[in-house]
Parts: sequence; C-alpha cells; structure tokens
Amino acid sequence: MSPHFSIYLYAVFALGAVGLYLALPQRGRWPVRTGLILSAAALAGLLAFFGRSFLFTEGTTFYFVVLAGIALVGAVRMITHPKPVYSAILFVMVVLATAGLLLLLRAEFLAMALVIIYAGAILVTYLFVIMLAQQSGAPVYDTTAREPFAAVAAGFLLAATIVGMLGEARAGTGAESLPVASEAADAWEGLPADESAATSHTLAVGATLLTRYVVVFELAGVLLLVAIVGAIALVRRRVEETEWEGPAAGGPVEPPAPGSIGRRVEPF
Amino acid sequence: MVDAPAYVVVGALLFSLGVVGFLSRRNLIVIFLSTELMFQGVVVNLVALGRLHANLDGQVFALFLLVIAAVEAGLALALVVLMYRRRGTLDAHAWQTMRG
Amino acid sequence: MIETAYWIPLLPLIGAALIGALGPRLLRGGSHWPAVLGVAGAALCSLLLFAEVRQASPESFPRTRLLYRWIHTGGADDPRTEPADESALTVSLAIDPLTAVMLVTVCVVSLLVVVYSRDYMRHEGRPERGYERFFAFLALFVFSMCTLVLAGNFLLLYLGWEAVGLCSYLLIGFYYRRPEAAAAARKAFLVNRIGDFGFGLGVVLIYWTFGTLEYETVFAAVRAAMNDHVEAVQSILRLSGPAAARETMDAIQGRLTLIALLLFCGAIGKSAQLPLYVWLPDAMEGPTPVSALIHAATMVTAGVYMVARCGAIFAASATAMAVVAVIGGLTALFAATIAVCQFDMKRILAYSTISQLAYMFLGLGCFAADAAIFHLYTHAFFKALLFLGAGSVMHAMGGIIDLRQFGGLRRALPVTFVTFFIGGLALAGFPLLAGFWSKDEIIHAAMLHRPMLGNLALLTAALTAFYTFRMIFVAFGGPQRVPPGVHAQEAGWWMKAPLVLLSAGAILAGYVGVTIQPGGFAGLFEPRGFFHEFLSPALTPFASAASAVGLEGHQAVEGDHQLMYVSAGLAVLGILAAYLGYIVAPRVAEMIAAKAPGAYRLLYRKYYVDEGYDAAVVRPLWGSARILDGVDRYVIDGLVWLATAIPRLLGFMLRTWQGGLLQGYAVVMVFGVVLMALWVLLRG
Repeated sequence: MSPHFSIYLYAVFALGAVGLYLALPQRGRWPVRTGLILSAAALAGLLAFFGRSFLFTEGTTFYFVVLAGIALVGAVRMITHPKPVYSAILFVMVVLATAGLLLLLRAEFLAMALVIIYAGAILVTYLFVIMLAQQSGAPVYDTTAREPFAAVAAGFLLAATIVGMLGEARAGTGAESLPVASEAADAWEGLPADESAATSHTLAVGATLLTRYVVVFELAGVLLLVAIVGAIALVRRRVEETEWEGPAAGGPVEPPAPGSIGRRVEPF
Repeated sequence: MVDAPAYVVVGALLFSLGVVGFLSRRNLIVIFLSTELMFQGVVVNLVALGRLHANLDGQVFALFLLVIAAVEAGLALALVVLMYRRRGTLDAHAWQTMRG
Repeated sequence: MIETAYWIPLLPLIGAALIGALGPRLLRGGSHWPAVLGVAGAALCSLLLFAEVRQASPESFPRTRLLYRWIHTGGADDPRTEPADESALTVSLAIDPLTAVMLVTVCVVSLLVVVYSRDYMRHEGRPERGYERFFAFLALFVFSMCTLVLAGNFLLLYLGWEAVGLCSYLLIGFYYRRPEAAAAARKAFLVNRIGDFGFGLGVVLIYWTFGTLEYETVFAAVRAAMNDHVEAVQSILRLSGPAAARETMDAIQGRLTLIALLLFCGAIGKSAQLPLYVWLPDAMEGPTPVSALIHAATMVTAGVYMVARCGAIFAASATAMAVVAVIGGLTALFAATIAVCQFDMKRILAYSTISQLAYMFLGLGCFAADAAIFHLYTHAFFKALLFLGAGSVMHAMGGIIDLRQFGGLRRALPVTFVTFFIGGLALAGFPLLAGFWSKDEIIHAAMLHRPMLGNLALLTAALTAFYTFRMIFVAFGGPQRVPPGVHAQEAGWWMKAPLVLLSAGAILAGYVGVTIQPGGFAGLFEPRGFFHEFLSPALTPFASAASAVGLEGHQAVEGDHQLMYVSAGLAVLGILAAYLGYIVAPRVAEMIAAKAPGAYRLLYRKYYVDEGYDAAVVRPLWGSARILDGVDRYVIDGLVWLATAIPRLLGFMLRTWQGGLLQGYAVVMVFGVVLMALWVLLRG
C-alpha cells in the first residue's frame, strides 16, 4: 500500500472519529444522529476503498465489503447505543459478520466455533446478566459517555498507528509491508503429505491442534475448569442453614417468617 | 482472494472501536461487551495473518483465544454481578475508592 | 608529703559519693556522717601536711607532683618516661606554704560548718527535706576547693574554680522550690560566668604565650623574662633557639599585664568585687551554713588565693597591681556604705564579706600579699562565726532574719549572743582580737604605697565597726521582742560547739601573726610573726616587686605604731556611735534617715545597681532573644515551610489526575501503547 492510500485512510478514520465522538451517548438527539450520519459516510468511504477492483482479485471482494460493512456498522452502533440490550444484540450481528469474514478466509471450523461460542453462549450469558442487573428507566450511566474526546482520540490514534504500520516498508526490521497473498497460501501446513486439497478445514485444524499444540490444548481445558470453579466461588451466597427448633428446645415461639431463614446475605 | 491488508484494517478498526467503547461507556456490562469486540478484531487479524504465512498457527491461536474469551466473559460477568450487589448500580463511577 | 596531700581532696569526695549513692535509701538522717568524717579526715591531713611543710626547708618549695598526663598535645612521646612533653595538659599537685595555710583554713572551717549543719538542717530533731543532698554537695564543695588550692597548673585551677562555682550554684539553689533561691543561684552562676570568661581567656593566653600551664614553668619563665634572661627563658620553656626565645620573651613582656588583668576578671567575679559583686548578697537565699562556708570563708577567697599564687605574674605588672588595689579600695568603701542601711542580717554580713575581701585585694595590690593572706585566714574564722551565729538566730526565729522583726535576744540566746559579740569585735577590728592585727597591716601597706586608698580603708574600718555593732545592738540589745508564734531558744550542742570554737579562733587566731616582744603596740605586740615568716617563701614575687619599686616592705617601722592606735581608735569610735545611735537614743537613726531621704534610699536600695544591670544588660538580652525567637519562628521556619509547600502544591495539583476510575487509567494506558508503537514505527 503506498503512502497515498495511508493518507486517505487517515482522513477516513478522522471523519469516522468525529462522527463517533458525536454519536456517543449524550444529551440531545441531533448530535447523535449527525454523528451516525458522519460515521456512515466514513464507512462508505472505507468500503469504497476496499472495493477498488484493481487491488483485489474478483469474486470475493463483494462479500468482503458487505460483511465488513455489517461488522463495522454493528460495532459502531453497539458502542453508541444507550441501551445495553441493544448493544448485546448488535454484538451478535458483529459476531455473525465476523464469522462470515472467517468463512471468506476459508476458516470454516473457526467461523462456526465463533458463532456457537460467542453468539450461542457468551452473548446469552451477557443477556442474562443484563436482565439481572437492569435498572428501570434510562440511568445516567447509560445515557452519558465519559471523556468521549479522550476515548475517541485514543481509538483513532490506535487505528491510525496500526494502519500506518501496514503502509511502511522499513529496511532491516523485518517488518515489511504485507505482500499480496499468493497461491501458496492455499497450501496448509501440517497436513499429511498424501492428503489432497480436498481435505476439510476442520480436519486440518484438528490435526494441528492435537499434534503440534496438544499441551496447550490440555491447558485450555484446565483453564476452563478453573474458570468454572472461580465463577461459582465468586458469586456464591452464604446461606444460613438454621432450622426452627421450637420452644421446647429453647428457640423462639413463632416459626420464622417464610424466607427469613437464609435471609441474611453476605457476599463471599 | 482478498488481500491481507484489508482484513488487517478491518481487524484494527474493530479493535479500536472496542477500545473506544471500553473507554467511554459507564455501564459495566457494556464495558465488557466492548472487550469482546476487541477480541473479534483480534481474531480477524490472527486468521488473516495466518493465511498470509500459509499455515494454521493463526487459526489455532484464534481457537485458543475463543477459550480465553469465554473464560474471561464468565469471570467478568461474575465480578459484575458482585459489584452490582455491592453498590446497587452498574455505574463504573461508583468505584472510585482509589481516588487521589 | 604529697601522699598526705592526696587524701585531702579525696576523703570529702568519697564522702560525697557515699552520700550520693546511699543517702536517700540507707543513710537518710545519718547522711551527715560521711561528710563529717570525710571533712574531718581532710582537716586532719591538712594539719599533718602543715606540720610536714613546717619541718621542711623553705627552699624545697614548691614541690610539684605530676599525677598523670591528661591530654596529650603535640609530639609523639613515650608516656612512660618523665614528662618530656611539657605542653601536655596534666593533673599535677603543688605544695608550698601558701597551700598548707589555705588547706588548714579551708578544712578546719569546713569541718566546723559541717558539724553545725547537722543541727541546722533539722527542725524539731527531724531532718529537713533534701538533707542528704545538702551534705553531698557540701562534701563535693570541700573537694572542689581543695583541688583548686592544691592545683599545680592552671588547668586544674580552672577545674577547681568551675567546680566550686557549680557547688555554689547547687547550694544557693538548695531550696529550689523558692523562686528567689532559684533566681539567686542563676544570678550567681551567670555573673561568675562573666568573670570566668575573662579568667578562661587569661588561661588560654598563658598557654599561647608560654606553651605550658604548669605553675613552676610559667612563673620561672616570667621571672626570667622580667630580668631579660633570654637563655633562661629558652631553657625553661624548652624553646628551639635563641630567636624563638627572644620572641617569646618579648611576647611575655608585652602580654603580662593583659594576662594579669584577665585572670583578675575571674577574681572579680568569684570574690565579688566591683562590678561583679551583685550575686553575693542574693546568694544569702541559700542555707546559712552555705553562706558561712562558701560565701564567707572559702569559695570567695579563691580569687585572693589565685592572685597570691600568681604573684609572679601580678607583681611584674604595675598596672595590674594598681587595678587590683584600686578595685579593692573602692569596693571596700562601697560595700560598707550599703551595709549601713540594710535590715537583713545575712545581707549585712554579705556586704561585709565583700568589703573585707576588698581589703585583701587592697593588700595584694600594695605588695602586702602575706598581710592579705593573714587577713583571709582571720576573716575565715570570724566571718564564719558571724554567719553561723546569724544562722542560729534565724533557726531560733523560725526562718526570719529581718532586724525589724525581732530584738533584744541576748537573754533568749546567750551563747549565740556572746559568740556573735566576739565575732563582731573581731570584724570591727577591736584591738587585740584577730581581725585587728590583720586589717591593720593592710591599712599600713596601703598608707605606704597608695595613701589615698589607705584613707579610704580607714574610713571603711570606721564604717565596718558601725554597721557591725548596729546589727548587734538591734538584734541583741534593748527590750526583747520576737515575731508572733516564735519560741526563741538555743539549738543543741551540734550548733553551739562550732560557735564556741570559732569564737576562740576569732580571739586567738591572730596571734600567729604577731610577735610578742616588749616595746610594741599596747606594750607587747609587734606585727608580723610566725605566719608571715612561714609564708614568705611562697610570696617572694611580691616582696621582690616591692623592693624593686623602692618601697621597703609594708611592715610598720620599728617603734612606729601610730597607725595601729589610730585604727584601734576608729574601731572603738564606730562601736560607740552604734551604741549611741541604737541603744541610748534609738530615734536618732530614724531622724537622720528622715532628714536625708534621698541618700537613705540610695543606700538602702544598694545604689540601684541591680536595677541598673537589669536595665542595661538583662532587658536588652531578653529583647534580642525575643527578636531572635521571632526570626526563628517566622523566617527560618518560614523557609522550611516554603520548602515543604512546593511539594505539597505539586501533590495537590497532581492529585486531581488520580480519579480512581478504571477507565481513566485505561485511557492513559492506550495512549502509552500508541506512543510505544509510534516509537517503534518511526524509529528507522
């Protein structure tokens, strides 16, 4: 990527940043709407950049642009929406778009795993917690953003830096600009030599996972176990297990009111 | 075949948007949700760059990243629940005890 | 001989240590025993020493014994050999007739005072509060005084000097709960400090000029320098060559007056002369035995002793001798005039002490050093007697000593009355008592050398007789009256015996200085006797200086006793005037006082000297102290505050950045990551 396009990208990013700044939750509706429009414009510019045909081969570009667009639209709206439930749902959209992108990259197993785990498990958990901790009305902490300028500036700089690295060719540091993908990328390492190109991605991933990375695989399992135990331990409520002993045994005359046993709550 | 740089740009943008969300929202749950968004960006980057180097390391890494993300989401939500119980609010500004 | 001398300071010190260690717990009411025994031992040893000195030949003095080298200065020398390094600071004792006489005086009078104190410090038989402390300090004082007298070099002299000052402070402020006593102790110490400062400078100057502090060496060097003997100077001071010797000799000749005057500063302070006498009357706040011992007989005489000891230095400088004599003469008259109008018996006696000390200095200044020491010796007896007598009166009157509040005590306190009367006669210079002989010699010497001062001395003698007997007649004469609620009676034998013994001394002690031969005063007595012969080896510088000036000694020419009769007559006159004024016609005194109120008030208020000091010295010091305190508090502390204000301000400003919020920290972190990435990015 030549420096000219870097500058174009920076400009697009800047426009998007301004739009994002305006779109973050704040009082009044017109700044948000203006911000969203600006962001949309920036996105369009970005996608147009992606769609320029002479840089890319035909065919998959269209899907890329669409999926990237959906992902980014979802992401922007997710972080700017005042209601957490909407953010969660929009995040599902982002996940699905990302899965699509992964499919484009011929990582089917990963894409499906993403959908199942994220959209199926993690997001559901999030939704449960949102229901648990919901406050009625629009609490102030949802309708105002904190330090939007600093946040957007940080994000912008981050994005610009990463993208900047793409466009630079520095001698001797070994970080050259990314070359165009070649046909060699179609060949995957780790497959048995006699397998043909018709081997599925899942098989390939599985083979790599269980041969080269088997230790890490086991560790991941342990990690999941620890996380389960930890999560339960964190949230456990101590319940007083006292039974009503009755006056003959020296307890109070009345049985305790329903629900009073175990009423006292102490966080762990 | 789409070029790796394009995917990296998308991944970077997703990551940056996640950062912005993390830094600017006050709702504890939305903060963690933005963290998940950052994970998405990283996954895209990993897989794209893995394709670039023509091996499956990136994808395996992304798989483990999913595990981590799941673990993190679980524990984070447990903590959010605790914090909500403690202060009765999901506001991140309720936690300022380290104020100088 | 030296061996005997060791014990003289040592025994009282041991006594003091014993009382200090065991007194409050174990000895309590018996705390006086270590002091009595220690001082008695010292007195015995001093008498033994006197006998030994008497038997030895006069030329063998002074005998010095080096005890040990205290501070080594300069040169690497073997401490086991004889003192090759004269410049080291040592502890050495010196014995000569002067030392022997002083020691006998000090120890015997101290013993009688300690014995007296046993009853004085009791009320109805029970010891007073602080009984042990008193005797410990008293014994410590005797040790200090003996060290001072026995010192063989200026360093030990200075040590003894300061030590007696310390004991004086401790004992004046014995009743420390009384603000007057505490203030008096402070005053004594501070005024003495002024004198001691000059004294210290003198000692430093001696070291600087002579390179050593040993008496023998310094005095020999002074003698040699005064006679222009360069080689002698070189050999005595162990100088490197004739050039250095000549230089040193010139320095000695040039600085001698200054050294003498600086040393005399110390004497002015310690012996309460003008202008540093103001502490002595206030020192009467201490218990009466303290006044008797320290402020009459021993400590205040240290100045006289020092001048006599350093005769070589003083006699060599005419200026110094003049200063000594003039200050002596003036102080004598000054103090006597104040004493005439005081009502506190102890204060009258204090001013009398100042006056008599001035006599001693007058004698020294007129080259009559042996007469001065003779007067010191007799004065110790009768002044201690008078003070102890006053103490007896005070004890009987329940602590009151103001003449206006009692009278006619002769029948109630007979022993006290008689002994006090005898002491008064001696003080007044009544013929045939001790004080007459010694005082008369000084007046003679003054008449010979400085006639004007001699006349002042005669006038002072008359006044002395007057005020002494004014006191006696008012206290003991006339009808008896006591303060209400007081039952006047004599104390026990612990108090009476010293009074009797001292009165015997007051009568008889003078005869050691008198030769009995026909044709003298009153047909029998010739001044100058055994005492003077005994002392003359130690006081040669004065004699030789007198002859150098052309004056032939101070004794009256054979057969010429005019002056003696004159002074005797003046004493009788003074007594008579007091008798007339206070017994026969008591109103006369008041009438005179009413006729000249200004003069009366001036004398009564002690010439407003204390007020003068207060205005001129004390208040400005307080003022400057307050200013400095303000500076310390506002300027210096202000600077410190400023130095702390800056970090505090910085902290205050920076504190606002710490919000305690997670996301605030996260923003900074992201910016940091970006910076790092940019740095990596742009580094090429």
